[in-house]
Formats: sequence, C-alpha cells, structure tokens
Amino acid sequence: MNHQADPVFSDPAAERVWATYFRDVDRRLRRLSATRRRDIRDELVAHVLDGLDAEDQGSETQRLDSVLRRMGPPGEYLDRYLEDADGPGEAAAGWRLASGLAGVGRRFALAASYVIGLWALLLALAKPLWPEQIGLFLMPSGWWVAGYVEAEGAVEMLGYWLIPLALVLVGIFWILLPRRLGRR
Amino acid sequence: MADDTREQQVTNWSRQLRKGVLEFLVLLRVREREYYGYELVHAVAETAGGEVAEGTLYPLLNRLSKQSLIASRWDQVASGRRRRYYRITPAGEAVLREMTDRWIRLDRAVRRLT
Repeated sequence: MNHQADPVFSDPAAERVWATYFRDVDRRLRRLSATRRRDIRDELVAHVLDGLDAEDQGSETQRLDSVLRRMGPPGEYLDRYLEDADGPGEAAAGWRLASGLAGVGRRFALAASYVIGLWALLLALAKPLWPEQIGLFLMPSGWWVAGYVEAEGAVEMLGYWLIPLALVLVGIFWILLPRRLGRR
Repeated sequence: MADDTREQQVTNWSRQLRKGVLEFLVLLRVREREYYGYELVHAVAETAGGEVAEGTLYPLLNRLSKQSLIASRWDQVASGRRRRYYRITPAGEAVLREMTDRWIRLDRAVRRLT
C-alpha cells in the first residue's frame, strides 16, 4: 500500500508550520527502522489531515496550528515509541550498530581496566622482592617502562613510592572505573 | 500561596488519574466499534477532559497493539488518503472485563467514603 502523502498547502505559512513540525517528527524517529518510522509518520499525517477536515473555522494556517496544538509537540510523545521499541525490526540498523559497538567498547574497557589493576597490584607486591629491578624506569632510549627491567642505563624513578602509587592505581582500575562503566 | 499549592496538588493528582485511565478509555471506545486514529484519539482525549495532548495517545495505541489488546489495519479512503482503523481483540475484551470490574469496585468504595 502507498504511503501517506504530505498535503499541499495554498498558504506558504501553513507549509512552513507543517514542515517545521514534521522535521521534528522525523528527527525524533530516526532511531527507528525505516519501516517503523514510515508507519508512525503516516499515522500522524493521517491524524493531522483528518483534524484539518474537522476544523471549519479560520485560515489554513490557523486550522493547522489548532490541530498541531491539540496534538502536542513531538518531543512530548514520540520518545515513548522509542521506549517501547524492541527487537531488530523496530530499531534502525545504524542505531543497533552504534549500541552494539558501545556495548563491545564498554566490555573491552572493563577488561582492560581489570588487567591494568592486576598489573599495578603485581608491581606493588613484587617491589620489596626485587627492589632494583621492579619500578618505573626511564630507559636510555628515552622510553618509560613500568615493570621488571634489568637493562643497563635504565634509571628507576620512584623507588618505594611505587608501592602506594600502584595501590592507588589498583583502586582506580578495580573499583572506580568499573563503577563508572556500570559494573560492581 | 496555599491556594496555589493546593491547586497544583489537585492538578497533578488529576493528571496522574487521567494517565492511568487512558488505556481503559481506549478499550471502552474500541469495544463499541472500529475507530480510525483521529476519531479514536479525539474521542478519548475529549472523554479524558480535553487536557490530554492527542499525540500522546498514539504511543499508547502502539503499546496496546503490542500487547495484542487491540488490532489495527490500514485502509484507503477517499482521495487516496489512508486511515488506520483500530478494533478490540478477544484478549482486549477479557482485560476490559477485568478492568471494568475493578473500576466498579473502586467507584463503589470511593462513593462509600465521600
């Protein structure tokens, strides 16, 4: 079946009112699939056209204003379609992809956070055992390395300060960050 | 000031009450006959006191459809226009009977107190 065609107005002001309202509708529905979006839009258009037929007072623009005022601003009701949207048939492919990527990114960040926390804890525990080899080193090449280093010319920068700093990192990467990422 | 607060409280209560009863009103309407979108939404909004933005009823119709309490079909009308018609389903009728029963009980209870 064909889609509901937008009306043609004789008054340019009415045309503008219509365009503004339905631009907002289209923008708010963009997270839904094309089929679902079209279906909802068609119904809203049908409603406004029926409303215009029922209005018998005033100019074209006044009648349109009146119908749209009774309808309410799109922001007041369209988000509820999004809240109720479920399943791949309803959400737009781009939006599903973005949500999926965000989920993967979050899980990856969480895993990385635990690994860094574990590494910091191992450094703190190992420092008293190998005080010369464990630490934060400035390498002769100019690179910084945190871990076990025996290279000649490497300068250890923190000494035993490594232990409290590493424990702070454990707190950040095992507690604060996972909380921020929505776990724990 | 106190009058304003009281007025606000009553307005909020009334708004919540209307919101809660909208599903009931929709089902009552579509039990009568098949309604098309504008007709149904306009009728329900009027019954609810005219303070309901008509647009808010479309997501509600969508939800009732998903719950299989109402069903809809598109139809072509004059001049190439389309309308979506809504009707109640057997599941909707069953839910409506329950709702009506509870509404009547609530109404009786309130009447006894007022």
